[in-house]
Amino acid sequence: MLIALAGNPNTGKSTIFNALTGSHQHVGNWPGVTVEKKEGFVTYKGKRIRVVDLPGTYSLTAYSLEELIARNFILEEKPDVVIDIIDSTNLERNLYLLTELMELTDRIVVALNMFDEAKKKYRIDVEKMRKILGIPVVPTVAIRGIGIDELLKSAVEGKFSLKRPRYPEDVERRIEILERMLRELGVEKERWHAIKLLENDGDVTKKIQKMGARDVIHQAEHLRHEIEDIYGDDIESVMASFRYSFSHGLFHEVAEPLNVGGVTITDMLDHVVAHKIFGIPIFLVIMYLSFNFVFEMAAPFQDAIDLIFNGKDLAGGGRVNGLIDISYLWMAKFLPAWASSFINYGMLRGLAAVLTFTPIIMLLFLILSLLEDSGYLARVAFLMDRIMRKMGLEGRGVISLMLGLGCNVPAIMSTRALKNERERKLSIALNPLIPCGARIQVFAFLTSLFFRENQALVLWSLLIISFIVVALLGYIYSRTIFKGEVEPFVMELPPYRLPTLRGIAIHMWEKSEGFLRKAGTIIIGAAAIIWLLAALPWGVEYGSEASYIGQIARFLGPVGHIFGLTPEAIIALFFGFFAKEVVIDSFTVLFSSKEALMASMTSLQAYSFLLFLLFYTPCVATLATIYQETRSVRFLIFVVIEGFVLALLSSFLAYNIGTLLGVGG
Amino acid sequence: MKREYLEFSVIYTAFLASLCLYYGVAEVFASLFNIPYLFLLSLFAVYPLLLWRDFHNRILLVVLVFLMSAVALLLTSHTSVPGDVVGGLSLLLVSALLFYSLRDTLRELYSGLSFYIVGLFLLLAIGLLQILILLADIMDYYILCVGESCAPYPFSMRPEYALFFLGLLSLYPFLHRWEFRRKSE
Repeated sequence: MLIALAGNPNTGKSTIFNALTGSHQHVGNWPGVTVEKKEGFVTYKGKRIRVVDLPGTYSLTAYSLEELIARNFILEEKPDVVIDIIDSTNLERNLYLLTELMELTDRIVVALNMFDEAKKKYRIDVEKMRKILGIPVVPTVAIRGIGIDELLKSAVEGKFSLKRPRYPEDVERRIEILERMLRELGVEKERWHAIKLLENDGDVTKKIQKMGARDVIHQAEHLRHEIEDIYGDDIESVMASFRYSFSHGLFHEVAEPLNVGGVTITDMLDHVVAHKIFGIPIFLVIMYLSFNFVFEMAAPFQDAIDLIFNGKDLAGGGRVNGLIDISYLWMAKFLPAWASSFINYGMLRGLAAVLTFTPIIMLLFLILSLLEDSGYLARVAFLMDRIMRKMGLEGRGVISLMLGLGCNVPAIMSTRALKNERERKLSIALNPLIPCGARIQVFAFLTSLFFRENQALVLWSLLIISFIVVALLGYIYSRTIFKGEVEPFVMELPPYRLPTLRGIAIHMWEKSEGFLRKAGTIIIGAAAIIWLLAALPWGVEYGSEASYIGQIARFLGPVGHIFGLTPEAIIALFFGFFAKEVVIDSFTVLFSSKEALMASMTSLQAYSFLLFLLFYTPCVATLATIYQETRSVRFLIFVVIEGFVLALLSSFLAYNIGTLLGVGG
Repeated sequence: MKREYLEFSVIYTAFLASLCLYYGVAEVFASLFNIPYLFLLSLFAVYPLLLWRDFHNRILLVVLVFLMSAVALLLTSHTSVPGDVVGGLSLLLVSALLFYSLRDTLRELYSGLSFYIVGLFLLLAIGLLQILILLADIMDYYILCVGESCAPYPFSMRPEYALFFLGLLSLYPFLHRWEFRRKSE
């Protein structure tokens, strides 16, 4: 068996080496260089173990001879165990080398040396560190021989299930591309090589060049530039900052400083934003400011797009024609009226609806990218961790639930950040119950008609009901169908920084592009279908009782009665399945004026409709994303049934209790 | 000189915090009911007097505290406040953070500066947001006016605009960078 001792200089490595090997050691030089090499032997339960003391290094780059020797030894000699000796009195700084070792080998034992001194500076939770890292962690005081036996025992008999640090998704995706290429070349430890190629490590690049894999080198170069563009810094700084974030996060998880000097701005901000009392109110205010920014700033752009496409009726009579009207009149010259109407009032109006929605989506992702790139979202996850754990989720789950307030599609995609499959599924199952921006638009539309005096109160009540249901279901699911322990993990805490415009723009576009494409096709399609149903069969008045849509409304009448849903409301809900904004379109098609819509429902019926809309099945795009993320039809059906059950139950209770109490009739 | 800057900025921060307290309460309750003599909340600007022992320049303290509280009273009794519950709660949070920062800032402890920085940044963010919303509102108003003759935009002064510019002045001590120390040292 072979054990290698790694660590920063002056961490007590030699003392541990001496304590382990006693007089059975040999001092020489590493081959070809004048760096001292010490190796010795120790016997454990009759097993002779070779111990090699690697040169002390702060990292494993290819800059110094010591670093090259240390990493090449681990790569080529493949020691059975690497013991990383950490100076516990400088815990956070020493953890950096550990993050690099974790990329290189799975079998690491952490020796927290000088533990007695460290206890004067921090309260260290060794057990938590073991759980988080998935490897043995042993406190030692080498100069007094404390912990040496346990260290040796852990190295020989310890259990290793290393939880390797992960980089942000956009970096991980690029590492995976290189990993695949390196696997095909037959390179061992392909993840480590891929990371080093991305980092432009001279030694590894030469090695791959020697194998004649020029395409891998070119690809690495290309991917490296992409990462540098996104993060606005050179690759070495970017990758180092991720490792420091991991070290900083790990340190915050396992150590509580008792008295440390050298306060940074990041420390100061963290002191307040992660504060037990002030942390959550600050988070709520920042969320309020963010959503306020999104909706208020988007309004003029939305109105401008609406005006350009749809035109407007003037208060004093007359009309300003929009592009759709102009196009309709032009096409009517050479196409039958129905065809021109279908293209313009069916398809083009659908396109206009998407474009009207675009400013909100873009601004929402802009603000989320800003919060993410500045480092604040990581603090939110850290802050919410305790609350989320009660719901069976880790802190990062709150980010995907928050994203759900914008749109459930990217929110569900963001659950990829959750490493545990059980937590990921739980988060996906809860996500559609958070009202997305489109649902909130419908709420705003209907509350402005039916609850003019108490609009804000009704909106708040819907949001609060949603949050309570999510928390309750999370609690129940995590103890029943999604049963399991929330795994401890390291919450990376990157230092705060001013995000670059380019980085935010790239992040924003990456997140918005796919969504807009999908939403565009679905909403345009749905608008066309509504038009056809309202215009057919041939010869009937558009949207009249004789049209298909009118006939469906008559047929569905009795079904919704016990839930307080009118036939027109059921039709609107049906079309809302394609995209929730279409609910507004449907009401507009079905009722000639707002007054007619207001006369069709009581305020109690409107509220039970809003509750139904809050929970019932997510839109097609969300369902497609859920399938794409889970590849399970059963799970998809579960999400749909869950939504319908909650929707039926809540609207039934609201309508019937309200009727009994004589409210809102 | 540095100490005088510090003490002045503590008094000024108390002034800002008391304005946030007044406007916060006013915005929360404006839509519900009127509270008579609400502007007296701005008298909280005299809070630094309670930290009497920690001040080195006590004559400056008395003069500035009364000057600032007079300005606060004057400002608050001459503004109209919109009803905005969450907006008001945001200002109350800023007020709490700033008041919480005063004692430790005066003692040059890092926790004071931490609350001071976060409170100030939050205030500036709220102010900036309201200014951006105002610009967006003006743009929206004129877009909706296309094809019609509209009256000029009905501008109303929200307190957050004034607080933003008053808050900008507070950036100076932060940029001045005093050396702060940990509480336990």
